[in-house]
Amino acid sequence: MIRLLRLNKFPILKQLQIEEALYRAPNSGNWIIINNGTPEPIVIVGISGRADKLVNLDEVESRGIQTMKRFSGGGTVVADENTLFSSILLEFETLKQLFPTLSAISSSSSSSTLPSINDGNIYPKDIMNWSANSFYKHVFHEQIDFSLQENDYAFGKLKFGGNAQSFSKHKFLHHTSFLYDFKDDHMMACLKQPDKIPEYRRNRDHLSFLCKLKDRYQSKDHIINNLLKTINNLPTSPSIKEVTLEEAEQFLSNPHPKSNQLFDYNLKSWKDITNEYNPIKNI
Amino acid sequence: MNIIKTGIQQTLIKSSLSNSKVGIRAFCTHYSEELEWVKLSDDNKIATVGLSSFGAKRLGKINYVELPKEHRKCRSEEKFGVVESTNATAFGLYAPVSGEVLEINDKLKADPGLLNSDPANNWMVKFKVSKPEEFKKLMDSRQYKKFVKWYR
Repeated sequence: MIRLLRLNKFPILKQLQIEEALYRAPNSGNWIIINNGTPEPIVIVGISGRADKLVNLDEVESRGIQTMKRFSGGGTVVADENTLFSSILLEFETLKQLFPTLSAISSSSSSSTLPSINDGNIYPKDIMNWSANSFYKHVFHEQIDFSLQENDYAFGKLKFGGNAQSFSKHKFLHHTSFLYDFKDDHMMACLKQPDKIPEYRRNRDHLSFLCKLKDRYQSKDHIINNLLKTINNLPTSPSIKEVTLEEAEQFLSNPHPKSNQLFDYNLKSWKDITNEYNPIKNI
Repeated sequence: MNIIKTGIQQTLIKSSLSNSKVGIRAFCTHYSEELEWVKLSDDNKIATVGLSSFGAKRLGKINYVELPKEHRKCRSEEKFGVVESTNATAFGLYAPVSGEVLEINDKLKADPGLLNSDPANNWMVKFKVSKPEEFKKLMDSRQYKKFVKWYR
């Protein structure tokens, strides 16, 4: 069974707290989470992100925009109400049941674009390939130039979706930020050119490297509907159970390491998130 | 009297990567389910932890390592750090035994790729062990080979 959680304008900071709780909980099962936008703009960096290297902190602070670090890998995004979030949390056993015919191609081949399982082991690159070739290719089936470029989804060489993953022994999380639309000014003003950039990006600045889904799809609902159809047409037809936010929130009460953090502009350092999901403990 | 015990010769080796003078028992490497190797000092007080070669291979090219601060206390199986690979993927690091962090390998911050190029000789963390009996829960080489074979 796969639990499907659909959210609308739900704060991505809280969504990532829920995702971390689900990811770290043993036996949390399989989940797909779709969120149609986050209400306020926010900069999100990956686990290895140095805020000072990736973000124009003074500019972001002056615009009243929060900066957070998420628990998964990957790059930086300025997310807002026009960002679509899609997260897939699957146990490896489930993935193999859904896709039993995946061929054993060496995952060390950098030119391989086919999903593969190598001697029973699944590697991060396998999941990245699988997500593009066995899942999101169907979501964006109308676009013949859809591709996976290193860790990004692109139309040709223009990125429209950024990916991040977390791996543990029994499961993986693969989550994506899709840029339906974005404020050009926010992207250029808030983000620095990272030191390490994907090869396919070359030296293009953000606006030359990114594209907007709204230029290809008239509405976010169209994309969400494509996503739901793809989920309902997964091979072997697993049962898909739509669940409530409260069911997902129950996992927050399991003790678990919390790696999502917020940047404190005064202290110029990361701090633990304190909110209703992680209240201050009374001493 | 033959001082070489049957099967195993115990040798004290000073780590070439550290100023630590704690001897490491060379032939008693154990492994955790989180793909880490662990070596216990002869006096059972210090555990040196690194990433196994299978772990490094599974992660792919490592571009970031986050290790705990010195003096941090960890319970067995508690998350103490994270590594990230160039596949935009984060992996947790978990304490194989309970203890207090004595030393971290600062070289890994500047060159995380050392965990790929030579995982056996690039330790990550040294713990002052608080429960030496936990070492028995770890796998020896033979058990680990079987474990890796069926690893998902």
